[in-house]
Amino acid sequence: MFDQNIEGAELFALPFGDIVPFFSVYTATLAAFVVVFILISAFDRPERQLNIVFGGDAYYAKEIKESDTRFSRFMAIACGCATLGAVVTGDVFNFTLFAVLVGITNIAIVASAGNRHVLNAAFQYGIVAMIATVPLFGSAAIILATTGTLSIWTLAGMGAVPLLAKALLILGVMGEGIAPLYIGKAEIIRAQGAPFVLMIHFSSLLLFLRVTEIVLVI
Amino acid sequence: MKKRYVQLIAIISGILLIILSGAGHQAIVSLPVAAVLSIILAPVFLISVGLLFSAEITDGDIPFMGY
Amino acid sequence: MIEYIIAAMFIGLLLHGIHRKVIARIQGRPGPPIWQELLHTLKFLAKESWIPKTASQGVYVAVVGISIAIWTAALMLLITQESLLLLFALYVLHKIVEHGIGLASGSPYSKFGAIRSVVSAASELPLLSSVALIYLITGSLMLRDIETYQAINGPLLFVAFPAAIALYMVILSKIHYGPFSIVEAKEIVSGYWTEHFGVWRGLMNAAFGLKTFVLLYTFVMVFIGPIGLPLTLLGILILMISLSFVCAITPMLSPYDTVTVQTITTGLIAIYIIYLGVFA
Repeated sequence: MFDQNIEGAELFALPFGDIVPFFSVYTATLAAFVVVFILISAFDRPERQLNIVFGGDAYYAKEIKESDTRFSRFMAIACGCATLGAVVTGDVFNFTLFAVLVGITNIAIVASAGNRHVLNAAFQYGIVAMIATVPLFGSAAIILATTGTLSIWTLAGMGAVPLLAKALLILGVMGEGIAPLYIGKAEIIRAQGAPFVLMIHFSSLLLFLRVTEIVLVI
Repeated sequence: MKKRYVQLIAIISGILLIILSGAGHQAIVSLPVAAVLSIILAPVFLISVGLLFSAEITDGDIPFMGY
Repeated sequence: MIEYIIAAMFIGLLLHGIHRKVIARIQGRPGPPIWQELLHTLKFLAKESWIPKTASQGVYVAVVGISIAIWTAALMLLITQESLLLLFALYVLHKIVEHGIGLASGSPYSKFGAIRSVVSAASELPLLSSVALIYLITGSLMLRDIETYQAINGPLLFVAFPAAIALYMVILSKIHYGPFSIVEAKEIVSGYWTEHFGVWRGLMNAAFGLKTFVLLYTFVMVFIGPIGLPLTLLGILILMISLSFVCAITPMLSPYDTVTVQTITTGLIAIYIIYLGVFA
Protein backbone atom coordinates (compact mmCIF):
# COMPACT_ATOMS: atom_id res chain seq x y z
CA MET A 1 0.00 0.00 0.00
CA PHE A 2 1.06 3.51 -0.74
CA ASP A 3 -0.43 5.29 2.24
CA GLN A 4 2.04 8.07 2.84
CA ASN A 5 1.09 10.64 5.42
CA ILE A 6 2.11 13.32 2.95
CA GLU A 7 -0.44 13.20 0.19
CA GLY A 8 -3.41 11.27 1.50
CA ALA A 9 -4.69 7.76 1.02
CA GLU A 10 -4.10 5.61 -2.04
CA LEU A 11 -7.15 5.38 -4.28
CA PHE A 12 -6.00 3.19 -7.15
CA ALA A 13 -2.88 1.34 -8.30
CA LEU A 14 -2.07 -0.48 -11.52
CA PRO A 15 0.92 -2.80 -11.09
CA PHE A 16 3.13 -3.27 -14.17
CA GLY A 17 6.01 -5.17 -12.59
CA ASP A 18 7.76 -2.67 -10.36
CA ILE A 19 6.43 0.32 -12.31
CA VAL A 20 3.16 1.12 -10.61
CA PRO A 21 1.03 4.02 -11.85
CA PHE A 22 -1.09 5.09 -8.91
CA PHE A 23 -3.59 7.67 -7.79
CA SER A 24 -3.38 9.15 -4.35
CA VAL A 25 -5.83 11.82 -3.18
CA TYR A 26 -3.23 14.37 -4.21
CA THR A 27 -2.43 13.13 -7.71
CA ALA A 28 -6.07 12.33 -8.42
CA THR A 29 -7.00 15.94 -7.66
CA LEU A 30 -4.24 17.22 -9.93
CA ALA A 31 -5.26 14.80 -12.70
CA ALA A 32 -8.87 15.98 -12.48
CA PHE A 33 -7.75 19.58 -12.98
CA VAL A 34 -5.55 18.59 -15.92
CA VAL A 35 -8.50 16.92 -17.62
CA VAL A 36 -10.61 20.05 -17.15
CA PHE A 37 -7.93 22.21 -18.71
CA ILE A 38 -7.36 19.81 -21.62
CA LEU A 39 -11.08 20.03 -22.37
CA ILE A 40 -10.97 23.82 -22.22
CA SER A 41 -8.03 24.03 -24.63
CA ALA A 42 -9.57 21.44 -26.94
CA PHE A 43 -12.95 23.09 -27.36
CA ASP A 44 -12.65 26.75 -26.53
CA ARG A 45 -12.11 29.44 -29.10
CA PRO A 46 -9.28 31.97 -28.62
CA GLU A 47 -9.97 35.51 -27.48
CA ARG A 48 -9.47 38.54 -29.73
CA GLN A 49 -6.86 40.79 -28.22
CA LEU A 50 -7.74 44.46 -27.97
CA ASN A 51 -4.99 46.89 -28.88
CA ILE A 52 -5.03 50.58 -28.28
CA VAL A 53 -4.01 52.89 -31.10
CA PHE A 54 -1.40 55.29 -29.80
CA GLY A 55 -2.14 58.96 -30.10
CA GLY A 56 -5.88 58.59 -30.09
CA ASP A 57 -8.68 56.99 -28.13
CA ALA A 58 -9.35 54.35 -30.77
CA TYR A 59 -8.78 50.68 -30.30
CA TYR A 60 -9.06 47.63 -32.50
CA ALA A 61 -9.59 43.94 -31.98
CA LYS A 62 -7.20 41.55 -33.68
CA GLU A 63 -8.78 38.85 -35.76
CA ILE A 64 -7.60 35.26 -35.48
CA LYS A 65 -8.43 32.86 -38.27
CA GLU A 66 -9.46 29.38 -37.25
CA SER A 67 -6.69 27.92 -39.40
CA ASP A 68 -4.05 29.84 -37.44
CA THR A 69 -5.07 28.27 -34.18
CA ARG A 70 -4.94 24.65 -35.32
CA PHE A 71 -1.30 24.12 -34.56
CA SER A 72 -1.51 25.89 -31.19
CA ARG A 73 -4.58 23.92 -30.27
CA PHE A 74 -2.97 20.61 -31.17
CA MET A 75 0.15 21.48 -29.17
CA ALA A 76 -1.92 22.67 -26.21
CA ILE A 77 -3.72 19.34 -26.14
CA ALA A 78 -0.39 17.52 -26.46
CA CYS A 79 0.96 19.62 -23.62
CA GLY A 80 -2.09 18.74 -21.52
CA CYS A 81 -1.57 15.04 -22.22
CA ALA A 82 2.11 15.31 -21.28
CA THR A 83 1.11 17.04 -18.05
CA LEU A 84 -1.43 14.33 -17.33
CA GLY A 85 1.31 11.75 -17.89
CA ALA A 86 3.67 13.55 -15.54
CA VAL A 87 0.97 13.74 -12.89
CA VAL A 88 -0.16 10.12 -12.93
CA THR A 89 3.08 8.29 -13.66
CA GLY A 90 4.63 6.13 -10.97
CA ASP A 91 8.15 6.25 -12.32
CA VAL A 92 10.85 8.89 -11.98
CA PHE A 93 12.20 8.39 -15.51
CA ASN A 94 8.78 8.68 -17.08
CA PHE A 95 8.24 11.80 -15.04
CA THR A 96 11.42 13.39 -16.41
CA LEU A 97 10.44 12.42 -19.95
CA PHE A 98 7.02 13.99 -19.58
CA ALA A 99 8.60 17.09 -18.04
CA VAL A 100 10.82 17.53 -21.09
CA LEU A 101 7.84 16.94 -23.35
CA VAL A 102 5.99 19.72 -21.52
CA GLY A 103 8.94 22.03 -22.14
CA ILE A 104 8.99 21.26 -25.87
CA THR A 105 5.23 21.61 -26.35
CA ASN A 106 5.29 24.89 -24.43
CA ILE A 107 7.57 26.38 -27.05
CA ALA A 108 5.48 24.91 -29.82
CA ILE A 109 2.25 26.44 -28.49
CA VAL A 110 3.56 29.94 -29.21
CA ALA A 111 5.57 28.97 -32.29
CA SER A 112 2.72 29.90 -34.60
CA ALA A 113 2.54 33.43 -33.20
CA GLY A 114 3.74 36.07 -35.63
CA ASN A 115 4.99 38.44 -32.91
CA ARG A 116 8.76 38.80 -32.88
CA HIS A 117 8.98 39.51 -29.11
CA VAL A 118 7.02 36.39 -28.35
CA LEU A 119 9.18 34.25 -30.61
CA ASN A 120 12.36 35.71 -29.10
CA ALA A 121 11.14 34.91 -25.62
CA ALA A 122 10.15 31.42 -26.74
CA PHE A 123 13.60 30.87 -28.19
CA GLN A 124 15.34 31.96 -24.98
CA TYR A 125 13.00 29.89 -22.87
CA GLY A 126 13.71 26.97 -25.20
CA ILE A 127 17.43 27.22 -24.54
CA VAL A 128 16.85 27.18 -20.77
CA ALA A 129 14.44 24.26 -21.08
CA MET A 130 16.88 22.24 -23.16
CA ILE A 131 19.76 22.87 -20.74
CA ALA A 132 17.47 21.89 -17.87
CA THR A 133 17.14 18.39 -19.32
CA VAL A 134 20.70 17.68 -18.13
CA PRO A 135 19.97 17.90 -14.38
CA LEU A 136 16.57 16.31 -14.99
CA PHE A 137 17.90 13.12 -16.60
CA GLY A 138 21.01 13.31 -14.43
CA SER A 139 18.89 13.00 -11.30
CA ALA A 140 17.05 10.00 -12.76
CA ALA A 141 20.42 8.41 -13.51
CA ILE A 142 21.68 9.05 -9.98
CA ILE A 143 18.49 7.61 -8.47
CA LEU A 144 18.81 4.47 -10.59
CA ALA A 145 22.50 4.10 -9.80
CA THR A 146 22.11 4.45 -6.04
CA THR A 147 18.85 2.60 -5.41
CA GLY A 148 18.57 0.22 -8.37
CA THR A 149 15.01 1.26 -9.17
CA LEU A 150 13.14 4.25 -10.54
CA SER A 151 9.73 3.27 -9.26
CA ILE A 152 8.24 5.88 -6.94
CA TRP A 153 6.06 3.09 -5.57
CA THR A 154 9.11 1.13 -4.39
CA LEU A 155 11.10 4.15 -3.27
CA ALA A 156 8.25 5.70 -1.28
CA GLY A 157 9.05 6.24 2.34
CA MET A 158 12.47 4.54 2.11
CA GLY A 159 14.50 7.74 2.18
CA ALA A 160 17.14 5.97 0.05
CA VAL A 161 17.42 8.69 -2.60
CA PRO A 162 20.44 11.00 -2.12
CA LEU A 163 19.78 14.68 -1.53
CA LEU A 164 21.76 15.58 -4.64
CA ALA A 165 19.37 13.65 -6.88
CA LYS A 166 16.38 15.42 -5.34
CA ALA A 167 18.05 18.81 -5.75
CA LEU A 168 18.85 18.08 -9.41
CA LEU A 169 15.31 16.92 -10.04
CA ILE A 170 13.92 20.18 -8.66
CA LEU A 171 16.50 22.18 -10.61
CA GLY A 172 15.50 20.41 -13.81
CA VAL A 173 11.81 21.08 -13.34
CA MET A 174 12.61 24.69 -12.45
CA GLY A 175 14.35 25.00 -15.79
CA GLU A 176 11.23 23.71 -17.53
CA GLY A 177 9.46 26.80 -16.40
CA ILE A 178 8.92 27.73 -12.76
CA ALA A 179 10.37 30.39 -10.49
CA PRO A 180 12.92 31.91 -10.85
CA LEU A 181 13.55 30.73 -14.41
CA TYR A 182 9.98 31.41 -15.54
CA ILE A 183 10.95 35.02 -16.26
CA GLY A 184 11.80 33.96 -19.79
CA LYS A 185 8.16 33.01 -20.12
CA ALA A 186 6.67 36.36 -19.20
CA GLU A 187 6.77 37.61 -22.81
CA ILE A 188 5.33 34.35 -24.10
CA ILE A 189 2.15 35.20 -22.26
CA ARG A 190 1.59 38.03 -24.76
CA ALA A 191 0.84 35.49 -27.46
CA GLN A 192 -2.74 35.19 -28.58
CA GLY A 193 -5.14 32.43 -27.70
CA ALA A 194 -6.07 32.41 -24.02
CA PRO A 195 -6.91 28.68 -23.75
CA PHE A 196 -3.56 27.66 -25.23
CA VAL A 197 -1.41 30.20 -23.45
CA LEU A 198 -3.10 29.28 -20.20
CA MET A 199 -1.93 25.73 -20.78
CA ILE A 200 1.73 26.87 -20.82
CA HIS A 201 1.45 28.26 -17.35
CA PHE A 202 -0.78 25.51 -16.08
CA SER A 203 1.52 22.69 -17.20
CA SER A 204 4.61 24.11 -15.54
CA LEU A 205 2.78 24.74 -12.27
CA LEU A 206 1.44 21.19 -12.31
CA LEU A 207 4.94 19.83 -12.94
CA PHE A 208 6.11 21.80 -9.96
CA LEU A 209 3.32 20.42 -7.76
CA ARG A 210 4.08 16.88 -8.82
CA VAL A 211 7.83 17.23 -8.28
CA THR A 212 7.19 18.59 -4.80
CA GLU A 213 5.24 15.45 -4.01
CA ILE A 214 7.89 13.15 -5.53
CA VAL A 215 10.71 14.80 -3.61
CA LEU A 216 8.83 14.60 -0.32
CA VAL A 217 7.80 10.97 -0.87
CA ILE A 218 10.96 9.29 -2.16
CA MET B 1 -29.48 29.13 -22.56
CA LYS B 2 -33.14 29.75 -21.95
CA LYS B 3 -34.28 30.83 -18.53
CA ARG B 4 -36.16 27.55 -18.03
CA TYR B 5 -32.95 25.49 -18.37
CA VAL B 6 -31.05 27.71 -15.95
CA GLN B 7 -33.90 27.34 -13.46
CA LEU B 8 -33.88 23.58 -13.92
CA ILE B 9 -30.11 23.34 -13.40
CA ALA B 10 -30.29 25.53 -10.29
CA ILE B 11 -33.12 23.52 -8.75
CA ILE B 12 -31.62 20.09 -9.52
CA SER B 13 -28.11 20.96 -8.33
CA GLY B 14 -29.51 22.70 -5.25
CA ILE B 15 -31.61 19.69 -4.28
CA LEU B 16 -28.68 17.35 -4.92
CA LEU B 17 -26.43 19.49 -2.72
CA ILE B 18 -28.95 19.44 0.12
CA ILE B 19 -29.43 15.68 -0.20
CA LEU B 20 -25.65 15.18 -0.21
CA SER B 21 -25.26 17.34 2.84
CA GLY B 22 -27.94 15.38 4.71
CA ALA B 23 -26.57 12.03 3.58
CA GLY B 24 -23.08 13.09 4.63
CA HIS B 25 -24.27 13.98 8.13
CA GLN B 26 -26.30 10.76 8.47
CA ALA B 27 -23.27 8.74 7.26
CA ILE B 28 -25.30 7.26 4.37
CA VAL B 29 -22.64 8.59 2.01
CA SER B 30 -19.06 8.69 3.28
CA LEU B 31 -17.70 12.15 4.02
CA PRO B 32 -15.03 12.25 1.25
CA VAL B 33 -17.55 11.19 -1.41
CA ALA B 34 -20.02 13.83 -0.26
CA ALA B 35 -17.21 16.39 -0.25
CA VAL B 36 -16.06 15.58 -3.80
CA LEU B 37 -19.60 15.67 -5.19
CA SER B 38 -20.30 18.99 -3.45
CA ILE B 39 -17.12 20.45 -4.93
CA ILE B 40 -18.35 19.54 -8.41
CA LEU B 41 -21.92 20.70 -7.83
CA ALA B 42 -21.23 23.93 -5.93
CA PRO B 43 -20.01 25.99 -8.93
CA VAL B 44 -22.90 24.72 -11.08
CA PHE B 45 -25.41 25.69 -8.40
CA LEU B 46 -23.90 29.08 -7.62
CA ILE B 47 -23.44 30.13 -11.25
CA SER B 48 -26.97 29.12 -12.21
CA VAL B 49 -28.46 30.88 -9.18
CA GLY B 50 -26.39 33.95 -10.02
CA LEU B 51 -27.64 33.92 -13.61
CA LEU B 52 -31.21 33.64 -12.37
CA PHE B 53 -30.73 36.71 -10.17
CA SER B 54 -29.61 38.74 -13.15
CA ALA B 55 -32.17 37.19 -15.52
CA GLU B 56 -34.90 39.43 -14.11
CA ILE B 57 -33.75 42.34 -16.20
CA THR B 58 -33.02 40.60 -19.49
CA ASP B 59 -35.13 38.64 -21.89
CA GLY B 60 -33.91 35.96 -24.24
CA ASP B 61 -30.61 34.20 -23.77
CA ILE B 62 -28.83 34.06 -20.42
CA PRO B 63 -26.04 35.04 -20.35
CA PHE B 64 -26.38 37.30 -23.35
CA MET B 65 -23.50 36.76 -25.79
CA GLY B 66 -23.02 40.22 -27.07
CA TYR B 67 -21.13 43.23 -28.08
CA MET C 1 -21.73 20.45 2.93
CA ILE C 2 -23.50 23.29 1.13
CA GLU C 3 -24.28 24.90 4.48
CA TYR C 4 -20.55 25.04 5.28
CA ILE C 5 -19.79 26.54 1.87
CA ILE C 6 -22.43 29.25 2.20
CA ALA C 7 -21.45 30.01 5.80
CA ALA C 8 -17.76 30.22 4.91
CA MET C 9 -18.50 32.57 1.99
CA PHE C 10 -20.64 34.71 4.28
CA ILE C 11 -17.95 34.92 6.96
CA GLY C 12 -15.24 35.53 4.36
CA LEU C 13 -17.14 38.43 2.81
CA LEU C 14 -17.82 39.82 6.26
CA LEU C 15 -14.07 39.60 6.96
CA HIS C 16 -13.43 41.57 3.76
CA GLY C 17 -15.86 44.18 5.04
CA ILE C 18 -14.10 44.34 8.40
CA HIS C 19 -10.81 44.61 6.52
CA ARG C 20 -12.03 47.67 4.62
CA LYS C 21 -13.49 49.21 7.76
CA VAL C 22 -10.28 48.80 9.77
CA ILE C 23 -8.15 50.21 6.96
CA ALA C 24 -10.49 53.18 6.67
CA ARG C 25 -10.47 53.91 10.40
CA ILE C 26 -6.67 53.74 10.57
CA GLN C 27 -6.50 56.19 7.68
CA GLY C 28 -8.99 58.51 9.43
CA ARG C 29 -11.92 57.84 7.10
CA PRO C 30 -15.36 56.64 8.22
CA GLY C 31 -15.21 53.72 5.80
CA PRO C 32 -18.01 51.53 4.47
CA PRO C 33 -20.21 49.45 6.78
CA ILE C 34 -18.77 46.00 7.47
CA TRP C 35 -21.45 44.24 5.45
CA GLN C 36 -20.52 46.32 2.41
CA GLU C 37 -18.78 43.43 0.65
CA LEU C 38 -21.87 41.25 1.10
CA LEU C 39 -24.06 43.96 -0.42
CA HIS C 40 -21.48 44.38 -3.14
CA THR C 41 -21.68 40.72 -4.05
CA LEU C 42 -25.47 40.70 -4.05
CA LYS C 43 -25.50 43.86 -6.11
CA PHE C 44 -23.26 42.29 -8.73
CA LEU C 45 -25.46 39.20 -8.84
CA ALA C 46 -28.46 41.32 -9.80
CA LYS C 47 -26.64 43.18 -12.58
CA GLU C 48 -27.05 42.43 -16.24
CA SER C 49 -24.49 39.82 -17.24
CA TRP C 50 -23.06 38.95 -20.56
CA ILE C 51 -19.90 37.65 -22.14
CA PRO C 52 -17.85 40.13 -24.19
CA LYS C 53 -17.76 39.23 -27.86
CA THR C 54 -13.96 39.41 -27.97
CA ALA C 55 -13.55 37.06 -25.03
CA SER C 56 -12.57 33.43 -25.11
CA GLN C 57 -15.98 32.31 -23.90
CA GLY C 58 -15.03 28.97 -22.36
CA VAL C 59 -12.14 30.33 -20.33
CA TYR C 60 -14.13 33.43 -19.40
CA VAL C 61 -16.86 31.38 -17.73
CA ALA C 62 -14.84 28.34 -16.68
CA VAL C 63 -12.37 30.28 -14.52
CA VAL C 64 -15.25 31.55 -12.41
CA GLY C 65 -16.46 27.99 -11.84
CA ILE C 66 -12.94 26.75 -11.23
CA SER C 67 -12.22 29.47 -8.68
CA ILE C 68 -15.36 28.48 -6.77
CA ALA C 69 -14.43 24.80 -7.07
CA ILE C 70 -10.86 25.34 -5.90
CA TRP C 71 -11.80 27.14 -2.74
CA THR C 72 -14.73 24.84 -2.03
CA ALA C 73 -12.25 21.98 -2.33
CA ALA C 74 -9.90 23.75 0.07
CA LEU C 75 -12.75 24.15 2.55
CA MET C 76 -13.66 20.47 2.20
CA LEU C 77 -10.02 19.64 2.79
CA LEU C 78 -10.17 21.38 6.14
CA ILE C 79 -13.43 19.64 7.03
CA THR C 80 -12.19 16.16 6.10
CA GLN C 81 -8.75 16.87 7.65
CA GLU C 82 -6.81 15.86 4.56
CA SER C 83 -3.29 16.72 3.45
CA LEU C 84 -1.75 20.17 3.80
CA LEU C 85 0.18 19.52 0.57
CA LEU C 86 -3.12 19.35 -1.28
CA LEU C 87 -4.04 22.75 0.13
CA PHE C 88 -0.77 24.04 -1.25
CA ALA C 89 -1.67 22.57 -4.64
CA LEU C 90 -5.07 24.27 -4.60
CA TYR C 91 -3.44 27.53 -3.62
CA VAL C 92 -1.07 27.26 -6.57
CA LEU C 93 -3.99 26.45 -8.88
CA HIS C 94 -5.53 29.72 -7.77
CA LYS C 95 -2.67 31.36 -9.68
CA ILE C 96 -3.99 29.69 -12.83
CA VAL C 97 -7.38 31.20 -12.09
CA GLU C 98 -5.91 34.70 -11.80
CA HIS C 99 -4.02 34.08 -14.98
CA GLY C 100 -7.02 32.70 -16.85
CA ILE C 101 -9.29 35.53 -15.72
CA GLY C 102 -6.75 38.00 -17.04
CA LEU C 103 -6.21 36.32 -20.39
CA ALA C 104 -9.80 35.42 -21.16
CA SER C 105 -11.15 38.77 -22.29
CA GLY C 106 -8.37 40.12 -24.48
CA SER C 107 -8.40 43.47 -22.67
CA PRO C 108 -4.90 44.92 -22.23
CA TYR C 109 -5.59 45.83 -18.57
CA SER C 110 -6.59 42.37 -17.50
CA LYS C 111 -3.73 40.94 -19.54
CA PHE C 112 -1.30 43.13 -17.61
CA GLY C 113 -2.82 41.79 -14.41
CA ALA C 114 -2.29 38.27 -15.69
CA ILE C 115 1.33 38.93 -16.59
CA ARG C 116 1.94 40.44 -13.17
CA SER C 117 0.38 37.36 -11.67
CA VAL C 118 2.88 35.20 -13.58
CA VAL C 119 5.80 37.39 -12.61
CA SER C 120 4.88 37.29 -8.92
CA ALA C 121 4.83 33.49 -8.93
CA ALA C 122 7.33 33.77 -6.07
CA SER C 123 4.38 34.55 -3.79
CA GLU C 124 3.44 30.86 -3.79
CA LEU C 125 6.80 29.62 -2.64
CA PRO C 126 6.65 30.81 0.99
CA LEU C 127 3.71 28.43 1.43
CA LEU C 128 5.84 25.56 0.15
CA SER C 129 8.63 26.39 2.59
CA SER C 130 6.05 26.64 5.34
CA VAL C 131 4.66 23.20 4.41
CA ALA C 132 8.16 21.71 4.28
CA LEU C 133 9.04 23.09 7.71
CA ILE C 134 5.84 21.71 9.22
CA TYR C 135 6.65 18.33 7.69
CA LEU C 136 10.14 18.39 9.21
CA ILE C 137 8.72 19.10 12.65
CA THR C 138 5.59 16.95 12.78
CA GLY C 139 6.65 14.18 10.36
CA SER C 140 3.28 14.30 8.66
CA LEU C 141 1.30 16.63 6.44
CA MET C 142 -2.14 15.26 7.20
CA LEU C 143 -4.13 17.91 9.06
CA ARG C 144 -5.43 15.33 11.52
CA ASP C 145 -1.86 14.33 12.46
CA ILE C 146 -0.88 17.96 12.83
CA GLU C 147 -3.85 18.50 15.16
CA THR C 148 -2.87 15.46 17.21
CA TYR C 149 0.71 16.70 17.37
CA GLN C 150 -0.45 20.05 18.67
CA ALA C 151 -2.78 18.48 21.21
CA ILE C 152 0.27 16.72 22.67
CA ASN C 153 3.10 19.20 22.11
CA GLY C 154 1.34 22.57 22.18
CA PRO C 155 0.89 25.07 19.34
CA LEU C 156 3.21 24.94 16.35
CA LEU C 157 3.33 28.73 16.34
CA PHE C 158 6.31 28.78 18.68
CA VAL C 159 8.10 25.71 17.34
CA ALA C 160 7.69 26.60 13.69
CA PHE C 161 7.68 30.38 13.91
CA PRO C 162 9.35 30.96 10.49
CA ALA C 163 6.67 28.77 8.89
CA ALA C 164 4.01 30.95 10.52
CA ILE C 165 5.68 34.06 9.12
CA ALA C 166 5.77 32.46 5.67
CA LEU C 167 2.07 31.62 5.74
CA TYR C 168 1.32 35.11 7.01
CA MET C 169 3.22 36.51 4.03
CA VAL C 170 1.23 34.27 1.72
CA ILE C 171 -2.08 35.48 3.13
CA LEU C 172 -0.83 39.07 2.99
CA SER C 173 0.10 38.74 -0.68
CA LYS C 174 -3.41 37.57 -1.54
CA ILE C 175 -5.37 40.08 0.50
CA HIS C 176 -7.09 43.05 -1.15
CA TYR C 177 -5.43 46.48 -0.78
CA GLY C 178 -2.26 44.80 0.47
CA PRO C 179 1.33 45.83 -0.25
CA PHE C 180 1.73 42.95 -2.73
CA SER C 181 -1.59 43.10 -4.57
CA ILE C 182 -0.05 44.29 -7.81
CA VAL C 183 -2.30 41.99 -9.84
CA GLU C 184 -5.31 44.17 -9.06
CA ALA C 185 -3.56 47.52 -8.80
CA LYS C 186 -5.57 50.58 -9.76
CA GLU C 187 -3.14 51.79 -12.41
CA ILE C 188 -4.37 48.87 -14.48
CA VAL C 189 -8.03 49.67 -13.63
CA SER C 190 -8.90 46.59 -11.55
CA GLY C 191 -6.12 44.33 -12.74
CA TYR C 192 -6.94 40.83 -13.84
CA TRP C 193 -10.68 40.99 -13.11
CA THR C 194 -11.34 44.28 -14.88
CA GLU C 195 -13.43 42.61 -17.57
CA HIS C 196 -15.47 40.32 -15.34
CA PHE C 197 -18.69 42.01 -14.31
CA GLY C 198 -22.20 41.17 -13.25
CA VAL C 199 -22.73 37.60 -12.09
CA TRP C 200 -19.13 36.63 -12.83
CA ARG C 201 -17.78 39.39 -10.63
CA GLY C 202 -20.25 38.64 -7.84
CA LEU C 203 -19.38 34.95 -7.81
CA MET C 204 -15.68 35.67 -7.89
CA ASN C 205 -16.16 38.02 -4.96
CA ALA C 206 -17.86 35.18 -3.12
CA ALA C 207 -15.07 32.73 -4.07
CA PHE C 208 -12.44 35.17 -2.85
CA GLY C 209 -14.34 35.58 0.40
CA LEU C 210 -14.20 31.82 0.73
CA LYS C 211 -10.47 31.99 -0.03
CA THR C 212 -9.82 34.51 2.72
CA PHE C 213 -11.76 32.44 5.22
CA VAL C 214 -10.01 29.20 4.25
CA LEU C 215 -6.52 30.69 4.40
CA LEU C 216 -7.09 32.32 7.78
CA TYR C 217 -8.77 29.18 9.12
CA THR C 218 -5.77 27.14 7.96
CA PHE C 219 -3.43 29.48 9.75
CA VAL C 220 -5.29 29.12 13.04
CA MET C 221 -5.74 25.37 12.57
CA VAL C 222 -2.13 24.65 11.71
CA PHE C 223 -0.33 27.01 14.05
CA ILE C 224 -2.59 27.34 17.07
CA GLY C 225 -4.30 23.98 17.03
CA PRO C 226 -7.75 22.63 17.86
CA ILE C 227 -9.27 25.28 20.13
CA GLY C 228 -12.97 24.99 19.24
CA LEU C 229 -14.99 26.98 16.73
CA PRO C 230 -15.68 30.19 18.73
CA LEU C 231 -12.02 30.68 19.65
CA THR C 232 -10.96 29.81 16.09
CA LEU C 233 -13.29 32.48 14.73
CA LEU C 234 -11.88 34.94 17.25
CA GLY C 235 -8.36 34.01 16.12
CA ILE C 236 -9.36 34.56 12.50
CA LEU C 237 -10.78 37.97 13.37
CA ILE C 238 -7.62 39.03 15.22
CA LEU C 239 -5.48 37.79 12.33
CA MET C 240 -7.62 39.70 9.84
CA ILE C 241 -7.35 42.91 11.83
CA SER C 242 -3.57 42.54 12.06
CA LEU C 243 -3.47 42.09 8.28
CA SER C 244 -5.61 45.20 7.86
CA PHE C 245 -3.11 47.15 9.95
CA VAL C 246 -0.30 46.07 7.67
CA CYS C 247 -2.34 46.92 4.57
CA ALA C 248 -3.36 50.31 5.96
CA ILE C 249 0.12 51.55 6.77
CA THR C 250 2.07 50.16 3.81
CA PRO C 251 1.82 51.57 0.30
CA MET C 252 1.50 49.16 -2.60
CA LEU C 253 4.95 48.12 -3.74
CA SER C 254 6.01 48.26 -7.36
CA PRO C 255 5.95 44.91 -9.20
CA TYR C 256 9.75 44.76 -9.07
CA ASP C 257 9.90 45.35 -5.30
CA THR C 258 7.05 42.91 -4.72
CA VAL C 259 8.91 40.10 -6.44
CA THR C 260 12.13 41.04 -4.62
CA VAL C 261 10.55 41.00 -1.17
CA GLN C 262 8.70 37.73 -1.82
CA THR C 263 11.78 36.03 -3.22
CA ILE C 264 13.96 37.17 -0.32
CA THR C 265 11.42 35.89 2.22
CA THR C 266 11.25 32.54 0.47
CA GLY C 267 15.02 32.37 0.21
CA LEU C 268 15.56 33.06 3.92
CA ILE C 269 13.02 30.44 4.96
CA ALA C 270 14.47 27.94 2.48
CA ILE C 271 17.92 28.48 3.97
CA TYR C 272 16.48 27.96 7.45
CA ILE C 273 14.82 24.72 6.33
CA ILE C 274 17.98 23.42 4.68
CA TYR C 275 19.86 24.25 7.87
CA LEU C 276 17.22 22.45 9.94
CA GLY C 277 16.98 19.46 7.62
CA VAL C 278 20.66 18.90 6.99
CA PHE C 279 22.50 20.05 10.10
CA ALA C 280 20.03 19.88 12.96
